[in-house]
Amino acid sequence: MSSMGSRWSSISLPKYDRGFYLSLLPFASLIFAIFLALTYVIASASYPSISKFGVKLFTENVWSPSEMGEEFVRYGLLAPLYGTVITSSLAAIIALPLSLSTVYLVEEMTNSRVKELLSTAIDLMAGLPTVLYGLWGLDVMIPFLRENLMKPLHSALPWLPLFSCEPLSGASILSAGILLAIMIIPFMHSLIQDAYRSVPWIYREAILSIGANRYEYYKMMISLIKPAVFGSLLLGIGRASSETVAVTLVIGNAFNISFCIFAPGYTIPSLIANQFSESNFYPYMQSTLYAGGLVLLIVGALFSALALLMMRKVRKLYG
Amino acid sequence: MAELRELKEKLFLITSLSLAALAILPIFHILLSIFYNGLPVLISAGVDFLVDSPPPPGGGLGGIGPSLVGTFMLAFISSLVGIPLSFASALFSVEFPDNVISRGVRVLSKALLQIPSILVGMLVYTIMVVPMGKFSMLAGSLALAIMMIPYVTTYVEEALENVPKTYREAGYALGLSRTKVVFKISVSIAKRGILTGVLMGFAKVTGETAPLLFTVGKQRQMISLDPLGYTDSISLLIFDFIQTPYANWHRVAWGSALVLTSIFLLIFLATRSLTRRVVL
Repeated sequence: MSSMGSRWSSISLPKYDRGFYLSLLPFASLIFAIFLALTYVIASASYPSISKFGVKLFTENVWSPSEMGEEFVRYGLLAPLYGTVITSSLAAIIALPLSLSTVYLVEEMTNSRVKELLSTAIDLMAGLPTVLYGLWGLDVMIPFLRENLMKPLHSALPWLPLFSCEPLSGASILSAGILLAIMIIPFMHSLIQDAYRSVPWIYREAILSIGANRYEYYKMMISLIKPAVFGSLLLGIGRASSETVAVTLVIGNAFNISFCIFAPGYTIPSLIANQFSESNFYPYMQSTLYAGGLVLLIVGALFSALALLMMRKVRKLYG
Repeated sequence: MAELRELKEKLFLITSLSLAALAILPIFHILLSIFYNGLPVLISAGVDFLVDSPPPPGGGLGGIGPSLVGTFMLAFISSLVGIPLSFASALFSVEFPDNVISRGVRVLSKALLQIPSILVGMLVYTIMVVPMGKFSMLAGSLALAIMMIPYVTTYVEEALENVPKTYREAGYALGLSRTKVVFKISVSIAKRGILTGVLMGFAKVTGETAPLLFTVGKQRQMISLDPLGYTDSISLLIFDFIQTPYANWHRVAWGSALVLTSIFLLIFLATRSLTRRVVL
């Protein structure tokens, strides 16, 4: 019974409280059930492909479905894994300086109009349906990037592997990275902002009292919450790696491993979005897609755990 | 030396201002593009746009009636399931914080927030669409409810935790039971916060696409209210139509984007006016 004790009573619950407890218990347990079902289904559905292809499933770039027989089937997820890593890291790296700037202005700006505008814009960004980002990315952002960023870079620095390939349609790793960066800014902003607010006033006063100017002040403040900033980078990567529809619309969907960021690619979620509906007709295809999902889930969980540990470190420091 | 410091400070201010401007520029450009491209479509298609079914490739504008109705039905059924469940589990984890299940609810609802939405779609496909042998509105609603529960739970938890302890202690001092304190004091003080969470959850599911890809069947030819029948959502329609080469379907996609944006902005303004007034 002691495990049922609460903040307000260390003794066991009275009878009428126990009824309340028991009536809420099944609802709360539901989150466990969802989580268990999710992990069980994904693990058991991805098992066949992992046991058939082994490590090659993650180290080869092949996609040859076959209806003829199992011996002709070969799958390797390297290209979408590569695309996921590149696009989401690119996104987090672009979004970090932008989020640090918005946090500075929202937290330290005295002009309340600018503050209000910024935080409203960020709230809007956080809630906007992702398919609208994809629509805008495909019809507006890609043509713009192709003419004003990709083509100039390609003609100026064609010998650099990053810019070595001709930008064709514009749907590419770079477009996906930039669109994802826009999409994760509000997320990273709110993570950094939370940590920033946890720094006690005496630290701020101490920094200002030694005559720091605004640049030095912000630099020191950020160095005080460095683990949280790093954590927000990890969570940003996790968030970007799981985004589906917007990426599917702008990445070009091609099994392609290239250092050139103007080339089209694939991510795990965009592969699933494109192939899952037909995957029932081909042996091992669905299981392979599930295995891709399993990798996303495991990496995402590791990143979140690591990031939460870092954020807790900051909170302990000042809490 | 002093000059260098000042120069650095100036440079820092200019950079952070321009980077922040760059960060929020896209959202305004997105909204403007949607109005710019979507408004002509709505004007030339008229009110029928909200009722008719989509046009054939290459001909006319038609409408998005079935998808619009589908969006609301899906959001409604998933809220019917998701909101009471989230509310109950949030209450549980705030009221009885020191047990395994409550701690689990906190950790797992944060973890579920991070789960790729496309995996939820796959899960529902495997546990519901395959056994039932067909896509359905119910399967889509289940997927959306799974997306919604961790989200709303986190919001409601936060709202309930922000109720000052002294108010609750006052309730206990009057001899109220736990149940009464919770519903008459905690919940009624946190009312606005809870409502905000509920609205945010509703907004989230009206815009979701990925969980519906393999669950609802994309039936956009006729309006259907049957929970076991096929259905569609506006977001799915946009996703499919924009990937086709047909000019009129692109126009329909932009028109639908304006409809979806209007729904989103309405809910957004509602939550804003709620949170604005909660400041004491």
